[in-house]
Amino acid sequence: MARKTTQIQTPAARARSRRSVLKGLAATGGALAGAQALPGLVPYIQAQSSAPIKIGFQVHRTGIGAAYGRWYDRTTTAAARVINEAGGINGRPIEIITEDDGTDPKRGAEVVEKFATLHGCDIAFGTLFSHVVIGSSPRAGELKIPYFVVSEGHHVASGMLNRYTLQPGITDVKSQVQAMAPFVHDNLGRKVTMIFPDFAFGHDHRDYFSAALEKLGGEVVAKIAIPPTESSFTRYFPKIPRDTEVIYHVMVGPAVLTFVKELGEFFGSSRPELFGFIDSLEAVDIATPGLEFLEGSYFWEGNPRYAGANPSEHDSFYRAQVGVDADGASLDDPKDVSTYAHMWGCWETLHVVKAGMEAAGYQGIGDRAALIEAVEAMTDLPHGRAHPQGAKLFNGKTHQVFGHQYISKVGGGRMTLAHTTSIEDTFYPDEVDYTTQPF
Amino acid sequence: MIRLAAMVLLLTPAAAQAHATGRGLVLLLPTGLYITAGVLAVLASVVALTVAPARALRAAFRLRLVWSRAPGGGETAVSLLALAALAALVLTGLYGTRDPLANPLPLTIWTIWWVGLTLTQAVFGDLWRWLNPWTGLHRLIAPAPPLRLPARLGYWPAVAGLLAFGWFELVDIAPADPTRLARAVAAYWALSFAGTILFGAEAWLGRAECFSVFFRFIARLAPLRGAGGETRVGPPGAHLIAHQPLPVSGALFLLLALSTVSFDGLSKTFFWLGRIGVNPLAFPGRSAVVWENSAGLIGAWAALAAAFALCVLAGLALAGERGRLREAFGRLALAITPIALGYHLAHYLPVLLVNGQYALAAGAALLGLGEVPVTTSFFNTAATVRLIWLTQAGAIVVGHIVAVALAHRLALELLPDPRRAALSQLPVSALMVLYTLFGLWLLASPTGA
Repeated sequence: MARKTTQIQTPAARARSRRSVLKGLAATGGALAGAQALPGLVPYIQAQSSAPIKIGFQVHRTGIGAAYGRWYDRTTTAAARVINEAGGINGRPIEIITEDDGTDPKRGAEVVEKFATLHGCDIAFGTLFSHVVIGSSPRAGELKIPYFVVSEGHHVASGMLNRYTLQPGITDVKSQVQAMAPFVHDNLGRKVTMIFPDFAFGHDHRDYFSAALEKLGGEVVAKIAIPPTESSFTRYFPKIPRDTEVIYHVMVGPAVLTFVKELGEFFGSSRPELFGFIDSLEAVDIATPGLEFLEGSYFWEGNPRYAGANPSEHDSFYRAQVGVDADGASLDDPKDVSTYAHMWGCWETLHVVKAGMEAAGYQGIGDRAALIEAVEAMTDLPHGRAHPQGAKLFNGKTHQVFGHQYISKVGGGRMTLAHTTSIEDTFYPDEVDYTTQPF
Repeated sequence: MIRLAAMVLLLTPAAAQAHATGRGLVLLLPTGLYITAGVLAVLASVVALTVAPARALRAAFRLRLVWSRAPGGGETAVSLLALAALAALVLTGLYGTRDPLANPLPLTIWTIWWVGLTLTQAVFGDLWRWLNPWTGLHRLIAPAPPLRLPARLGYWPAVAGLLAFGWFELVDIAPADPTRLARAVAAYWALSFAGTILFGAEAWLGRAECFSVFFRFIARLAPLRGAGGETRVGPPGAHLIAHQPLPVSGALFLLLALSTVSFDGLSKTFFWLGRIGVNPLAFPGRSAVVWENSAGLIGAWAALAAAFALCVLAGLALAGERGRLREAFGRLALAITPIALGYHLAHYLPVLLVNGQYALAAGAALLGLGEVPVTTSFFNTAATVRLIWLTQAGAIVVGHIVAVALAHRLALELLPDPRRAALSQLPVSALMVLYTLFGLWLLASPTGA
């Protein structure tokens, strides 16, 4: 029990804060000094009402997700500090206990187990990459620890997980993709060629978008699947039909910049409209040389990176707390671009956890089921400091939140918000009712 | 498990994968041109060394006396301090924050020590002689070793240690986890200390403890070296010439040091991931490739060792020598050292740039100096990406040029006739040119793990 970790404290003046190594060492010294003789006793000496609520933060510190993990960590740290500064949850501070999952599903399950059995966490939280969520969720269900993921995956709402897994702080890819169809159809063109990487991620875009577009009377005139190992794309471009009005592209990975450059060389100055997902260029400076060809094209954004002329006060507050400027870059280094389209999910999820625990009168791990029921009972989540990305609707049956999606236009090496979808644009029929599952 | 794997395959990796930056910008660089230039530079050095007179080669690597004493003293005290620091770090690993980028133990072991100390040894010489956490306590206790480390064991215990270390670093699913690392470090310290007690510190740290062995080879690349009561200065690698020919196990140790870091680079490329049937845009995590990476680690070592041995053999044949493979292999393998160092710098430079900041931040927090912000924006701009890439490529090219020169010089110890010595070097030099190409290709390849 002497395992102390991140304790987020309130008085930090800066928008960001760093977990205190000193505390770790002080805890070590303290533990060695005496308390170690009575492991496990300390928490029970403390009054239950003042003991921190322990939130196990499953973060991609190493492995392929580390670049996202860095910003998930910053956002989580800021959200925890803001919540603590406002009195915590039911008057108790929250303590973030960070464990690195290595962006690995097996390690992810181990980490969830550590949260539940070793650290005595109240909940587990924060996972982004889908394969880690899918690897960890069954263990969370077995150990009956609420698992709040921030992953965008459709796996929660699809019904493949369990009652202990919830996604109340970020929308899922199915709702995002289908909500793009009305804008593309009405503003860019009805004949769309899709270019996507040939695996599950690309297939989802292909399937969800083409179904939504066809429902509106549009047509996907070509579906060009690119093998994931490809690093040059020139030979695929002649497959783009001549009557294409819009190219919908969702390339990802290191070859994205090459893809854009080669597409530019192929089309020259006369090109169809371009629509993409910012996942391709998350954390990449839009003014990067080689991306000029994207001028005038459109991107889905989970949350607009550039604050624009009239940001909401909530967005401004959120940026200041996380330490991000009006261009979505770090206040410490304007060239350090954040993963702005995704990381807000950590902030909003922690605020949902707070609201859920307060509604449930949460006291300790015996109230975990009550916490889940309280979150399942949520519906409207209004735009505010707790939800700076915008208003949301939570679906308690599918454990998935629904919200506005943003479409931005590239111009002058930055992006400007061009369209905000309605929440209704993102709806689809329920595929599961988790509330019928026993705890 | 199969069901889970199937589910993973079916499901949406929603948040899309690796960043476009870094390697994305590298893919836009004219790396083909850079690679050609780098390979030609090594090739030119081969041509020059083949025709260079032996006299010039001997002169180039000559050591000069700069001090009629050798640095020494304080080893016991410094080693005891290092041991105390290590103990504190292990406790921090066990009881401090769980975040591997904030806990001082993983930052110290993986970044400051393994990456940083290796590079420092190559500049300043054998600091590990002072900093190792065993000799101080051993001298304090100073028991006469009850056992003698058998000579026929050669460097094999060190080979086993380095292999285990490489496996832990490359294959284990959580080598940076503070608890796991603390246990591994404590266990290794205890094992090695037991070795020094049983066999004596000199023998155990000389041939059996892999890090002492590795750091000592690297330290011989530094310009200054104190030995035998004298301090001498020479160009990189000059201090390796007087080294006794290595036994086969010693040669294989150096080849393993190089093959491990090479395989670490290879295992992240689209090329390798494609070969093992892994989608490079949706890397499934280390736990999914444990067997592939284990086999790759061993396979890369076996392939490099076999290629090197064949080239040494072919060289001897060209020079008309027979039956001296073991000796030649053991002597020429010393020339692998600068290549291993070049790969080390090239491979770990990005880690050093990012995790070095986390180490500074942890240190600042420890000393109450406030926050040190961490940035990775140098992977986001074309100019800095080019600078980083050329630094990495430069390390590989320079490492190989030094290695080619060193191998030619070592060949003169083997075959005093300059013409035959030069002939014997043609296959080994060809291998080094190819290995330059391989290293630069690794740096330029798209990666996905």
